[in-house]
Amino acid sequence: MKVGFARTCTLTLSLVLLLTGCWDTKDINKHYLPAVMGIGKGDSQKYKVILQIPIANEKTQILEKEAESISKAIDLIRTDSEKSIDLVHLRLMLIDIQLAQDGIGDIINFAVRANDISIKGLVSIVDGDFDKTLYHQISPTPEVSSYDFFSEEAGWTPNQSILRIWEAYRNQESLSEDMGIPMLKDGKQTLFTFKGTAVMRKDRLVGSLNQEETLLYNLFKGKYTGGTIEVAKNTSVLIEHAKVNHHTKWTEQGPFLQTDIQLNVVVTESPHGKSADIIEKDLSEKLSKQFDQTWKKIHSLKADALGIGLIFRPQSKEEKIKEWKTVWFPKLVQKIDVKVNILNEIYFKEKSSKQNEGDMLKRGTKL
Amino acid sequence: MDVRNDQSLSDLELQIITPFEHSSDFVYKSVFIGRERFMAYYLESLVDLSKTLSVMNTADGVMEQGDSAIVITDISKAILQGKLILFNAEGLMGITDAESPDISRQITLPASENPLQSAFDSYTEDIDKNIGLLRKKIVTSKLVIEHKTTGTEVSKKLAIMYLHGIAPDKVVQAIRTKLEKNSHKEITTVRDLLAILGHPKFALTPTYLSSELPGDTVQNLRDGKVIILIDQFSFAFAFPTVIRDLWASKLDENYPYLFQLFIRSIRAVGTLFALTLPGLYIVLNSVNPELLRIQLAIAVAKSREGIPYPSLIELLLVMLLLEMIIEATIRLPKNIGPTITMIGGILLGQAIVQAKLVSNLLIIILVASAIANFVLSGYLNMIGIRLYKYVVIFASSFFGIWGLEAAMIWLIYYFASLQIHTVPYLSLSVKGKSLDE
Repeated sequence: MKVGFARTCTLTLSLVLLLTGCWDTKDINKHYLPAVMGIGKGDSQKYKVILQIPIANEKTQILEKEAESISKAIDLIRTDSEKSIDLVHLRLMLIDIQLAQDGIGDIINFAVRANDISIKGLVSIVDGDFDKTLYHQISPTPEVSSYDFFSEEAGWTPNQSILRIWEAYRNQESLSEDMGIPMLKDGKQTLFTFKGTAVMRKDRLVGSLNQEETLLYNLFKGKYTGGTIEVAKNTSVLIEHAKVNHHTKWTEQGPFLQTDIQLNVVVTESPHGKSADIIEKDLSEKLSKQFDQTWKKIHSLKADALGIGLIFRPQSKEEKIKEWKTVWFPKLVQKIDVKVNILNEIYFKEKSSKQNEGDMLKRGTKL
Repeated sequence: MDVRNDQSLSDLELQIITPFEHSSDFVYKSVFIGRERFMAYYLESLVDLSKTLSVMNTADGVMEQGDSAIVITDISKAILQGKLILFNAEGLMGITDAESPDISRQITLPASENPLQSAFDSYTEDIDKNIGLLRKKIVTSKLVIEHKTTGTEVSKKLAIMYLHGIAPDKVVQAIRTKLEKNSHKEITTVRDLLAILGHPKFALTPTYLSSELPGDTVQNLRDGKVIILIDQFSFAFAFPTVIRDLWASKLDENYPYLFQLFIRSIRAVGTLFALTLPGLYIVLNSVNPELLRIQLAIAVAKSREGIPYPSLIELLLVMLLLEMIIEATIRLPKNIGPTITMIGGILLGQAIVQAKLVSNLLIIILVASAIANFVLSGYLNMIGIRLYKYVVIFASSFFGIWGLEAAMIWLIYYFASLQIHTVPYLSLSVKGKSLDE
C-alpha cells in the first residue's frame, strides 16, 4: 500500500517536472535587458526600433533595426545579437513625434499585448531629433538616468508630466478621458530636456502644453509635491498641499464644472516688505488666470486631457458618456477658483499689511 | 534467605558464574567481613572491593535483604548493575550496593551549548546525578519522576519527569503508554527512543528537544513538556516539540522582554532567509529575472559574466562545498578545526570567484544563508532547515517564483500534518488550552 503510494507520487512528480520546461530558462547573463526602447519612423520601413541596453560600468549598447512591425524589428535585432533579448526590464518607451501625430494606438496595443513588457513602463514622446536623442549618452549608464528622470524618488518634479503604458492604454480606450504624454528631447548638460506635455485626442497628438502649464495640469490631477510657482518678480512660493474640489452640474446648455483649488504654500523668496496678504492675493489672481488660459487651450484642442469626463461620469447616462468626447466636452463650461493660504506664519496671521514680523509676534503672544 | 532448600550451593554458584564465563572482569573470591567468611561475586570493573569492605567493616550489618522471590536472572542483573553478591557459609545470600570505582565524569561546563548569563552546569552521564541536578534547580513536590527500564537483553534506565498539573495529562499518558507498550525494545541511541515513542521515521524537523543544560530543562518543564532522561546520556530530551522551539531558545527568558523579542524575531527572519535565499538566487538569476530592479539586474548579469555553468549547477556545487566544510569542522579536534576554517575561507571566498567558477553574488547569498541558518536555536533545528533548503532550490529552479512559494506552503502543510504526542506541531505552546484544535 505504502510502496504503491510512493510509486504514484514519484510518477506524478516526474510527469509534473516534464511540464515545467525548465530547460528553456536562460541565465540572466545570457540575456540583453533593454531599459529604453525608442520607436521612430523608419527610413525605408514603417518603424525603426532602437534598444538601449545597459551594461554595468560600460557604455550602453545600442541596437537598431527597421521593419514593418515592432515585433519584427525586435526579432531582427534578436537574430543578430549574441544574446537573447528580453524586454522584461523595459522602463521607458520613447515615441517619435511624427508617429505620435499619426496615432500611437498600435504601439500602445503592442506594448500591452507583449507578455514580456511591463505595463508599468513609462511612455514619452521625443520632440526633436529622434536618433540624436536615442544615441545621446551622458553618464556611463544612461538607462538608469532615463528611468530616474521620471522616478518620483529621484528626478521627477511637478513640472513634468508622467504617463505609464497602462494609463496610456486606458486613456486611449476610455470614453471619458484623454491623455497628456511628456515630451522630451536630448539635453545639453543633462540627458533629456523636458519640453512640455503633449495633449492627445484619443491616440493622436493635437497640441502641447509648456512647462508652466504642465505644473497646473499636474496640480489639477493632484500631483504637486515640491512644485514651485513664480508669483511675480522676485517672489516665488512652494506648494505644500493642494486640495481640489469639483462641483458638477448639468445645465440645459451642457455640463458645468466649478473647480475650487485650495493651495497651502510656503513663501521661498520675496522682496523685503511684501506682505503675505499681497502675495496671497497676487498668487490667487495669477493662478486663476493661468488656469483659465490653460483650460481654454486644452478645451480648444477638444481633448479631455484633464480627465473631466471622469468627474461627470457618476451622474451621466451611458449615452451621454458615449457622446462625451464629441458632443459634451466641447460644450463644457468650467470655472476655476484658486484660494491660497500662506503657511509661513502658521497661526500668527497679520491683519494689516503695514505691520512687520516682530510686531506680529508680540501680538500673537498677547493673545 | 536460605537458598539451600531447593538447590545446593555449588549448583547456585555455577548458575551465577555461567553467564559470565567469558567476562574476564568477573571475579569470585572469599572475603572476610567482621569475622565471618563470605563468597563474593562481582564485576571488578564496576566494584571497588577493598573500599566496599572497609565501609562494611566500619558500619555493621549493612547486608541488604533481598525479597524472597529472587531468581537467578535478577542476580546476574544485579551483578551487571555493579552490585556485590555475598554468600555466607550457611548459604545466606545478600545483594549489596557496592562502592564503585570513580568512572563517571564530574559536572562540568556544557560542551555543545554556549549559555550566556545563566547557570553553567551541565548534565553528566550518570542519570542519578542528572536527576539530582534537576531537583536542585526546581524545588517543588510537584516534580514527578518515574523510573522505567527498557530492553530485555541490554537494559537501560530511563526517567520520565514532568510537573504535575502543568504538563497536560494527555501528553504524559501518551508517552507512558508508548513506553510501557514497547518496554521490551532496547535503547542504545536516541533514535531507538524515538522509535519506542512512535515518532515518524522521516521527520523534517526534530520531534524532540535535546539540551545539555539543566536550566533549559527547567524551562521546558514549566512549559508543560515531558522530560526523558536516559542513563549514560548527558542530555535531557523534552517532548513534544512545537514550532516555537525553532526560534525560541530557553535562555532568552533570562533577558528583558524587549531584548528577547528582538533576538527571537532575528531568529525567525533568519529561518526565512536560510530557507529562501538560495532558491531566490535561482529564481532571480534564471527563471524570473524581471523581479529584480533594473540596476540590480545589470549588476547581477555583470557578476555572472563568463560563468560556464547554469545557476542551478553552480549553486549546488558551492552548496555541497559549504555542507562539507560545515560537516568537516564539527567533529574535528579543536586544534585542527581552524585549519579547515581557513582553507574553507579561501575556497569559498575570492579564489572560487576569481577562477570564474561562480559569481560574486552567489558567494554573498551562500554566506548570508549559512549565517542565517546558524542563527536558529538548536543544532538539530538547523539541520532540518539545511535539508529543506534543497527542496526549495529544486522547486525554484523548476517553477520559478511560484515554485519557491509552493515549497514554502508545502513546508507549512507538512508542519500542520505533524502531531507529536497529541500536540499539533503548529501550536505555540504545549499546555495550550485548545490542544486539539
